Amino acid sequence: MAQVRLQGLQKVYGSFRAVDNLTLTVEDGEFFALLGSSGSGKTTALRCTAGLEQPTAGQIFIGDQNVTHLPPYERPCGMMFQSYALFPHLSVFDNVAYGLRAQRYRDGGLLDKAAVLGGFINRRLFPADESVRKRVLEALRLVELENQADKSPTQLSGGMQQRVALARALVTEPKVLLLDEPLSNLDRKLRVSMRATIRKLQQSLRITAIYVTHDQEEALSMADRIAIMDRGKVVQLGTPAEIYDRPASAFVADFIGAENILPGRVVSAENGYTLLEVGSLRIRATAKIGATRIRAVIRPQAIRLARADAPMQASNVFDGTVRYGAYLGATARYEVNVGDHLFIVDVPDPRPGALMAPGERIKLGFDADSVILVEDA
Amino acid sequence: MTSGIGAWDRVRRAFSFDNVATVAVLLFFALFLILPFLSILIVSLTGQPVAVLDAFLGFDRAVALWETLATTASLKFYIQIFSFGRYFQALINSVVLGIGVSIACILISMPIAYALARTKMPGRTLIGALCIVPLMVPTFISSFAFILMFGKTGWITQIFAMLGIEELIDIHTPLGIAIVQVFFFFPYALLPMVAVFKTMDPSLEEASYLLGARRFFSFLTTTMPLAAPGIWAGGVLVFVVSLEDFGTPMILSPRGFPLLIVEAYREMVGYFNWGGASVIAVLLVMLSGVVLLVQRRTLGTTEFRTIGGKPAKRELIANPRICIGLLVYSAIVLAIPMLAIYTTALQSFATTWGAQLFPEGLTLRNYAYVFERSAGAIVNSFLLGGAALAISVVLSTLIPYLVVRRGRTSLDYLGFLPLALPGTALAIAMILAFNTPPLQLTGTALLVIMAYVVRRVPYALRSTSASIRTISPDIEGASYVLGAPTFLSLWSVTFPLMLPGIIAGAIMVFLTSIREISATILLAPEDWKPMSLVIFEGLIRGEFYTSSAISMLLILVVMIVQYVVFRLLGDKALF
Repeated sequence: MAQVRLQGLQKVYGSFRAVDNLTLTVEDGEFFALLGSSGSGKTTALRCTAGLEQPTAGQIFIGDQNVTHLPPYERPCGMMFQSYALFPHLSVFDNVAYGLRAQRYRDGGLLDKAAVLGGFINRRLFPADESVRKRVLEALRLVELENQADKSPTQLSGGMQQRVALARALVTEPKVLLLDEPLSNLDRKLRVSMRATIRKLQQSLRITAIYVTHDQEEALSMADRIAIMDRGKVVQLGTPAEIYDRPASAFVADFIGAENILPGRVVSAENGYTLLEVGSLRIRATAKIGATRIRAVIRPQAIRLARADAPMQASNVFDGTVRYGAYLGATARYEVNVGDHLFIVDVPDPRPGALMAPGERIKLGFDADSVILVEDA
Repeated sequence: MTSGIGAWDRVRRAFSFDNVATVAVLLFFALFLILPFLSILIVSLTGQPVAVLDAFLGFDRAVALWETLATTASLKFYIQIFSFGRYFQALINSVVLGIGVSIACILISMPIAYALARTKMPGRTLIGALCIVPLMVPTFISSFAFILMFGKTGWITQIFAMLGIEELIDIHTPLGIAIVQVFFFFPYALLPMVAVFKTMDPSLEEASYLLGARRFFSFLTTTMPLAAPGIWAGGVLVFVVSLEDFGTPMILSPRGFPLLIVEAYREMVGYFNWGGASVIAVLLVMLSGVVLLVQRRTLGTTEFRTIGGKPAKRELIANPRICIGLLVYSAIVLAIPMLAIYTTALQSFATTWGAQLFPEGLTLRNYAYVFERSAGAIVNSFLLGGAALAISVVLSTLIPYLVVRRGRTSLDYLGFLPLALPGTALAIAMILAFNTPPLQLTGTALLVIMAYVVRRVPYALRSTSASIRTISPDIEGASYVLGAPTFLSLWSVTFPLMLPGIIAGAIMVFLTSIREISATILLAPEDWKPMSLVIFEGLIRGEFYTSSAISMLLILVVMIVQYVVFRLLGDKALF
């Protein structure tokens, strides 16, 4: 197992800087997520680590080894692709055995090489060794597919295909597991269960993992640490809790799903409160900030609603009008007008019959300690 | 901590599979494409053979070559063309014939293409399959069949004579050549046209109906302009094929109608006029080169549109009057080449066949004679075609891999360059390039094989590059990350997935090689004559019955192989 270090990594396509001077250290055994929208450079950084792209500048270390100039087949990495990238002409067994055979081809003598090449022409003449067999079946057992070994991957469902890809990536016991949005082609339910499968395997094997995704929920639920990327640079790096609770910028706040981001300024700071002026609203927050021009970030779940005549206990209470309401099962999402501002509000555990109607006048409130302050860039 | 790359790694990397493969491919084309072309260019200026390769072997030899060039090079052979009436006439004739045949092919194919792509014409699958058949018959066989049908004693001429129409057509004229070429080359125009008619966005035509256009008017004003790229592509292909067609003019040999392709052959074989032959060869190459270049320019963007588009859902025309009309028309057009094959078959079983509708008697003697006397030619065809197939498999697999996956785009051009090389021109160039040491290959079977490979590799490439583009780069990425070095990845992943394309391309090379005549006649040594050459010589010598028998064997082999490929690969094997 090993630490992965990217040092001043840069990848330029023409005039486009896909990865811009990226420096990161992923600790041994850590599950590290690169989170960003498409074009943020996260996939390019991962492909450079795998060796599938040659960086324009910078260095990549895996453990003590500088792998910057090594071809992908000499790096101790396993990889899962968004498209699964299973070999459609090989059985599930042969897909998983591929890495072991490649190892024999690289390390073996001429006879071994010939046997590996021959095996791809006729499997019966060149059957798998007992040790290969055992390791492949063991890997397939880890992903609960030991009964599917003789099938063609094209006969399997998307989720099963992805598990084959996982077994194939792990069977050679790589030091680093690279995952390129492996779950984005699966439906939601499978995605959630595959998250757990991958995370549990990673923890039990104590393998270093780098996980590229654009799905904040995926990153927050799986990773030990997250780097949020934008235009080839890391804009914030931290544990899921740090990123969620203290987004460093409006961009990060927006990316992790804080819907209400209001530009304003600090009026005063006294009695442990920071007083903000956001348009026509006065907002009290407990957070402190050095800047004057700020954005106030308030999560939809942090806001409560009440009938106009009901009492409400909160540091910030405003009168508003419901513009729109949608029943989502576990929550109801409302759009509420307060003055000339629009708030997105998630109310937990709604009664299906008792949604507030558009046009209804209501009270909207949130606590001072739920207001996150970020500098306005 | 290990740093950077060591010296040994540098050496190893320089001899990586990719680099070695690139050099090998470049070397092949340098030797069998660039060098021959350089040789005819030089000979067309000096008028005498020059040992170009020899000049690379030492400084003094290079100096000697340079001195020969400096003293003898002149443009006099080019000037001769434009002053010597016959060459100039040949140039004009070739161009006019090519343009005429192209236009005729486009016009004749258009209704069939429309019927196949847009209507529920009964039997359109069969019609579609039969449309490939004319391409399988070499033109020296079809021309001979035309003589048997439309010649002075031809059986169709007899039928018309009985109806009171004497002198239906004189087949030994420029018009005769044009007719044979039209009926056997029209599929080249048809196939791309079917493709554009199928993929064109139907909503545009529907819009024109809604605007009140009648169907025919809408066809003229909307469909045609939209289909122009496909039509243009087919027309250009027909022009190039007509330009390099050697069989038809040789068999029909019309008096007073010189063509470039025939003149080049005559200068070479008849008069040993190296300079004249080279000049005509250069002209031929430039002519088809320019046309193909223009086509590539104009087609560069449009080809994508036809391949990448979603298959448009459209209502096929079911109007019985339109469908039956188109069916009758298609049947008439296809009847001519089918009758040509029927006539050849009948001739091959005939004892004697004079000016009658049917032969006097039927026999298997012609075939027995063929197996007795020409079995060697059949074997030769398979050996030469098979060798060409094997080499093309290697080239047509490596080139798309290097171009598409490794960005060596210069190789792409090399692979398509030979399209502009008529067989006669290539053969003349190869003879001139390899008739002196250090590589004296003229008169060996190897040179015949190389000519086949160089000429046909573009067709194989078209098929293999299409198939490599369907493989996701991730799949190869996966094999690298799993630890497979380049060669193992190619062997275990890329090649197996390209296999359908490789097979289709290789079979194409084999099939076109065994019916090739224009390069074969100049290059094949006496003991390596393939079927095509034996048939051709037999026809010239007047051995009509046995030649027909070998022709039928040749056509049979082509059809069986083509059918097998069809069953294996479906539509992709069309071109």
